[in-house]
Amino acid sequence: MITALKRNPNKIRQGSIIVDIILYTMAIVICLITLYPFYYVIIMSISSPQEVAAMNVFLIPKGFFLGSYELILKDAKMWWAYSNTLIYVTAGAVLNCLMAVLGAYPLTVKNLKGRKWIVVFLLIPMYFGGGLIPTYLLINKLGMYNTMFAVIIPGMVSIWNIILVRTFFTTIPEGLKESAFIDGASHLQLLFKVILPISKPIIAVIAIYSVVGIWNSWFDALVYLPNEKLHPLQMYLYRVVVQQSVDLKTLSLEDTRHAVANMLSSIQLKYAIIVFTTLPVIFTYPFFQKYFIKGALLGSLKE
Amino acid sequence: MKIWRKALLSFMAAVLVMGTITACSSGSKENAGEGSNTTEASGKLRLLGPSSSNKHIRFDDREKYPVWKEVDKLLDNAGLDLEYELVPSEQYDVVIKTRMASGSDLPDIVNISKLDNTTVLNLAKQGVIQDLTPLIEKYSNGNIKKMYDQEFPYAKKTTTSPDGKMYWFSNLHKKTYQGKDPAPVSLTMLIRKDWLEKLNLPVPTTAQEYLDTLKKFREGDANGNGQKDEVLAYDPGIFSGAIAQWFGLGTDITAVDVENKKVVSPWYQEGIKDYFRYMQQLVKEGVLDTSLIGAQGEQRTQKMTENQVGSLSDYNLATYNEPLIKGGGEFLPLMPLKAVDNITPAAQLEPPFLVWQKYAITKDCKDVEAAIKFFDVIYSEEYANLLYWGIEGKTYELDSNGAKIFINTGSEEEQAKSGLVAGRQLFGDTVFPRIQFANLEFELTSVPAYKADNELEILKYTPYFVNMNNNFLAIPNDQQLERKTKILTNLTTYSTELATKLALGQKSLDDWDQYMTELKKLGLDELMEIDQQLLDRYNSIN
Repeated sequence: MITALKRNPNKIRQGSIIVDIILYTMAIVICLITLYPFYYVIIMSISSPQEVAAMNVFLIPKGFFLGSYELILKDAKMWWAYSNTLIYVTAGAVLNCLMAVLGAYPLTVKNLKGRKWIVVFLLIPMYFGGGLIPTYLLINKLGMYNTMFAVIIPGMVSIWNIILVRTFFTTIPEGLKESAFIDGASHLQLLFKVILPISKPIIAVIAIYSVVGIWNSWFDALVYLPNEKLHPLQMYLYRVVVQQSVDLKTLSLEDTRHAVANMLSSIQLKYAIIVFTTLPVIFTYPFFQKYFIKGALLGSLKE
Repeated sequence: MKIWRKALLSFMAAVLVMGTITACSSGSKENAGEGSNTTEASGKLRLLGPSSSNKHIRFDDREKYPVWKEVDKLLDNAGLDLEYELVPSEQYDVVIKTRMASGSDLPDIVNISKLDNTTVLNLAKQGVIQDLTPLIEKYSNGNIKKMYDQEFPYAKKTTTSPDGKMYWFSNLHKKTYQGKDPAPVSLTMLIRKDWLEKLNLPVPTTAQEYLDTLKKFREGDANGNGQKDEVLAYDPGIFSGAIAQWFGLGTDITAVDVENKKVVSPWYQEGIKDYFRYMQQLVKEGVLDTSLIGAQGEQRTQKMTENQVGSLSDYNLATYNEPLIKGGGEFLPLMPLKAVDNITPAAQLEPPFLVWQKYAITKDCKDVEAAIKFFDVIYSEEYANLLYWGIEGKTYELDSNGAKIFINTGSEEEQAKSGLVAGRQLFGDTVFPRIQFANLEFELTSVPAYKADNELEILKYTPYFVNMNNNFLAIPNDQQLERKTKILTNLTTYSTELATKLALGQKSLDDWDQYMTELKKLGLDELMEIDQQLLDRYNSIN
């Protein structure tokens, strides 16, 4: 092994300073490109409103003004939306994990008849959806339209998650399961008392994926929740942004006046809300980073 | 193992059976609900519309507003019991599209303004929305007819569909001066009044003087920042900037000449080449800011804020630009300026009569009599007055000539506290159509004298083109619409590009015939023909 390495040295000498410099510069440039939009939003949200309206802010904040944050914090609607998001995220994450585990386990039981077909059956809706109107009709007929369930329940089962969990479950040694059966455990006992405790990494991965996904989602709310008291935070952000992008050319004099007044008050507000809605989720990243990496690697190795 | 499997199977079977049963029962419950609707005619109506995005004056708090109490009385007197479902306006687009497309569980009256004419006519074909004409004949107390036939005779022209039926009610607006004369406002070139005064320049009276003035703004450093950055914000790619009309050009690829009942296209008009020569001059002198061509409002606002815009095309009575300017400033509206010897410059007007928004009665409405009664209330004079003006002595008063003038009741926040608002601020454009009898008298009191003078001068000015050409065209039928859409997709792009390049001097005027051939190939003539048919039909509807 060692001699083989010596005979085939890398073409780039290890410890080459020039290559290091090039690689580091590239990494830094990519970092800056990725981070700049975040930075831009933050400095826009705290600069003085005139400079923001004039689009003068690029590298450092110009002036200092926290009025937009004050407006947001005082807005009862925002707090409604915040608490709704917390409900959606908590319920969504718990149910997602539960469904993924319950869905994945039977698929790892070797003597389940027609297992292959069930997997195929599960894969189909991963690629094809019913479309907006049929889904809307379904939600409406189930009586979930304009209720919190319309956002929580359809998102509960994710085939992708089931497959991730199944892949993880198959790595658990068969002997462990058999010994549990010999000790008289039922399938439910095996799942919840033996398999789950050693599957924490995958549960964590799914929980984080769900939290991030649900935190950032707004489309379901847009379609199914006309009642603004049920809106999540991202929907609140969506509304502020849409409100601002009115095409003035199509309006009459009277309506133009109102639109201009509205637009000005919300130019900076948009940035402040983006910061406010994104920060919590950004802060969770460092803590869960190791799970993210694990999640990315899952399924990349085949036995 | 076997026992376990059996247990699982029987459990799954049980779930399936339960599922079917519950699905059935919920279905039958719904049917029962619908059935009970048919029997009662209690004046109960469900209404769906967008809520306004106003942060202070909210429909939810309507009970505390005096103007709502008055409207509520009118509705009560008509025996109506209304249930509102208001969806945030930013979301309404998606909500109404999905709900109408699904065609199930619809409200009785619905605001469908977000749907284009084709979609609405398709819904009408499918029977999702009802034909209003027979309903009006049968149930109306005459209010609707009175408004549509006498006060707003043009309303029928734009809302009658090609099959001769009417599927939606609309917002109706007219602005008059001294109680009778129609009062259009104009879209014109505004120029910095304070810069003219600062540099001691006269108000330009011809296109050439206008160009020279803008040049002098730059040379004299009108904004005083030491740079030659005073610009004209103008988009030469489209013809709806007011300079095009100085050369007698229409306001769009096809435009309506209202007086002569003719559809014209700027590309065929006499002044077109001179217009582009003039544009080229503006560009050559560095006056026209080329970075703003095709730009969004935000970019223009930016230049405005930085005190760089010397002139722009906007409403003559606009007062929303000045507060943007850092350090302040004033915009003077110009009359149409003479540009070519044998062409009288035209004005661009916003018609004093507007018809917009759509409110329909759906197929699920069982008590259509109540629905028509609702619109009878809407199209009454009392409602119109409450909606636009509010309550006499509280939100408006009469001036010495008897014209209505709004009372200043403070900012929206203060208005929300005092409850002194006009109806349109509280419920306009939701499910309550806006019927507006506006007047110019009030407009004139709320702008500086130099803007008011311009408005009075423009009132009787001819010739003119209008900024909303579609307001003068009847609704196209399927074939016409399909052709129009197809032609416009490519023609608009080509026309905009061509106009921009000609203005920038990137294309030569010598190859004119070649451009015309291309425009014709893209269907310009056919488009004009279709629009002429629509205009003729518009004029033939009574």
